[in-house]
Amino acid sequence: MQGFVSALLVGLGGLFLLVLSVVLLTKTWRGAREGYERRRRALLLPSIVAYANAESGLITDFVPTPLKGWNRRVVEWLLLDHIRSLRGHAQARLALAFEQLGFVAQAHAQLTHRRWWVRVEGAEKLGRMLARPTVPDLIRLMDDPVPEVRLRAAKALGAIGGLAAVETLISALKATDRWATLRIADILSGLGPSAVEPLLAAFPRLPPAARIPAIDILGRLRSHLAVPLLRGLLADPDPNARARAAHSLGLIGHPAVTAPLVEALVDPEWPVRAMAAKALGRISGDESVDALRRALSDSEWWVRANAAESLRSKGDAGRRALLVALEGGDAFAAHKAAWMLQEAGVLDALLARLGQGTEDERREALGVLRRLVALKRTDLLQDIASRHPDAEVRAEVGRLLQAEAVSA
Amino acid sequence: MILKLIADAITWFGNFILVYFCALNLSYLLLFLVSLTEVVRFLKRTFFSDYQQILRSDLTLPISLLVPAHNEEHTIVDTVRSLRMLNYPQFEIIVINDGSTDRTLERLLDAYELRRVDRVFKRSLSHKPLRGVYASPLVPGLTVVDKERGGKPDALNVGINLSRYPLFCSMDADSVIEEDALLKAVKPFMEFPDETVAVGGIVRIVNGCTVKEGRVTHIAIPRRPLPIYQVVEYLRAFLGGRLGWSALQALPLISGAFGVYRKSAVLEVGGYDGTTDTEDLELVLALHQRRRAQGVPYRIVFVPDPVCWTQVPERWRDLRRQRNRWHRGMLQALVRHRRMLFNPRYGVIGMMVLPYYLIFEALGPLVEGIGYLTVIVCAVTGLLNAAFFVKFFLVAVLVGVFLSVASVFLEEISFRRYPSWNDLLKLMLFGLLENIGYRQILAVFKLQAYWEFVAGRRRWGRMDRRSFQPKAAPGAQAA
Repeated sequence: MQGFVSALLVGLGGLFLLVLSVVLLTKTWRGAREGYERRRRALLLPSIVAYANAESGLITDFVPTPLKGWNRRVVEWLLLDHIRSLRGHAQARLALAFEQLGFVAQAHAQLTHRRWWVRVEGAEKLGRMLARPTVPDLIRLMDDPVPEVRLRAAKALGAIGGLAAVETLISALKATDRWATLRIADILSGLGPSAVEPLLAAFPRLPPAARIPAIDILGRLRSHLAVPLLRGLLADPDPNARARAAHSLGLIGHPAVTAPLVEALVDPEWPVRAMAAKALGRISGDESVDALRRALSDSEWWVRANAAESLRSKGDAGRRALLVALEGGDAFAAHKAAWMLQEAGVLDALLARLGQGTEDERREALGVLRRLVALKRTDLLQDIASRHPDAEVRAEVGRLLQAEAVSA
Repeated sequence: MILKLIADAITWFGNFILVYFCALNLSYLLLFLVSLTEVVRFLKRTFFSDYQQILRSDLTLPISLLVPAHNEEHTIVDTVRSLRMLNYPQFEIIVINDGSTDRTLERLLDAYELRRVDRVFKRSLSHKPLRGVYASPLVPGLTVVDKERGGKPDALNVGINLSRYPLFCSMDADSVIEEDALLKAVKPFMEFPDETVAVGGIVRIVNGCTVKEGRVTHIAIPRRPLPIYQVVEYLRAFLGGRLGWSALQALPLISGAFGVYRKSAVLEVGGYDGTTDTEDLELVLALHQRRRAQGVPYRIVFVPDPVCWTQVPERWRDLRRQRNRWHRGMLQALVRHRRMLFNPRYGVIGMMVLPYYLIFEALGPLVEGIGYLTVIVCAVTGLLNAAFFVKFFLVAVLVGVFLSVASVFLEEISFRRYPSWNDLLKLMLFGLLENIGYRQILAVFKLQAYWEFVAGRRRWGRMDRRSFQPKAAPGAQAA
């Protein structure tokens, strides 16, 4: 037994010393490298900036070559960091610098490496380098077995752009991995208007799983070109497609879609109604106010909540509808309306009238306040009764609350 | 005859201790190796971060931040300020003033000009009565709820009821979350939206650091020894422990100081349970139990990068209360979820994690205590083999030191939050020292928890909080 414990002691001691040495050596090595890189960066940055802003000349005229070891890495990262903040001529010059210094070839070679993280690095760098000639290989990388590699290839394609990249990304929307779909949707949205027409053209051929993200992308791209397709999708047999189409139409905000969205407020599926209610709040105009007020009494909580929020964003007409909802028999609609009126500052405006308004305005304000008291939505009123700057308002609201307390 | 019986019993116990000790440390070592692999994998995956894409994407899931606060007048305004500066596309902050007897609510009312509002919300979970809901015209996403004292779980349940978003983040009012923490924590929800139910981040110690305007601006090791021990302990627990369990898809605990949850999953298990002393452990085990029983794939993940900075006890009295509560809570959770123990239906969590927690974490202090007692008895009766004891003690210390230094190693190859040589050497030194004295004292605190557990005593335990703001220099006011 003693022998076993002694052996354990020696083994553990050795292991401890090994880890200790690794920690100390790692820290020393890293410190040295970071110090060197910091100094080199400070030295080389002005040359990189001068090269980017110059009308002509090769990068080798600005940066001492050949580049080796840590120095090469410093230059590469300086260029990679700097290119992200540039546009136009300066950006094109840095993209050229990557080619001239052999960084593109180096990253390109990484695309076929057996380790996935090296392939990831290669794809990421090629995207940042805007290495257009490598697009076919990045497209091939979209079939990589490792999802992370495919994502980085997609990101690179998104950064480089071009029709071939857009079409590849659209076909990648059918990925089963939800994260990949979301990321590719983001990348396509980031491409802006150039993605709209290819996406509309590809939509009929997309499998069901890819249609939902495509609908979302069309909404995020906010192109009126997508309105006819999305409007048609409000009648799609798939409720998910109908809901997402309603959402996207709201994002586009075209006034012509108010009528079909109002119709969607009576869809048999509540997610569609909820999305339609939300979308109507984003579309300017008062035409949907009555329908939204009716939606305050929907059987589903989320539809009612979204309808109330949308009414709040509808200006005076929406506020009038919320005031009407206060009078209705639906307790939830009345409570929600009371909250929305508070959030929209309507209550504050009414209180100002209570202090300084005409007799009619005072009467109207008192009517609303009495209704709130009757509904027992008195938290804000109590706050006002104790803290409002106008003594007359404090007294008036205090009297209302007291009368309610007595009657209760 | 009696002496022989005692000698036999001691020999038997000695052998048991040896087996127990080997099994325990082998588990630690394996867990460390899994953690090491996971750290390397995580670093490779995040070498080129995509957090900016998550920030810019309007598909990123919005989050409700729930901040239960009980007598947090010193820190609450700083905490809210730090939360407002988070890099995240869409979030709301819900502070739940849980029956504070100090000026927590007043400080918030003054700082954000809060007004009472008639908020409408779904009462999905039951809780103690509310006294008022406040909103701020200055900060649209801020809601403060004032309620009767019901404890942290009750406060969190109120927050869940009021929250508008599909994910919520539970945190402590005395914590500071790093500005990109939510972006990092939400990634697993985006990657595996149907499976991910909870994500925990690493909790680091803010004592000794400089916090300005709700941000940790300078990171340093605390000056006082007690928090330094805890820095080493936290590194070991998070980087050397939870990361490993998470890699095995069996994370048993997400710290109450920082965790992001899918609201629907938490509602399914009835929200936070107020009948245990560690609501965070209880919730995660309940989520495991529910999902395993349903037979649906799920993920409860620890991500080592999102950082939450929290204050730890600087006084032994506070540390005793804290550890006592933690240990008591663990015993309660083990009893409550005993059905999962050694039950293959619950997979790794039932066959590995909970048995590990029962045998090594829950019973460990008892075995350790009896071990020390046996040494004393042996010394008194002359049965102690001094050479063996010294060697065994050295092995125990060395294993402890090795695990502590190994955690520092994990930190050094990955996140390097303590960049100075001075801090590194301090961490290593305290990794050595904690095995002599500190660990034994903790074992005593935990032993006390057994008694309270058996007696059914429950108390949260108070810790004196300090303001994050540095104290004004003498004469500063006059100037």
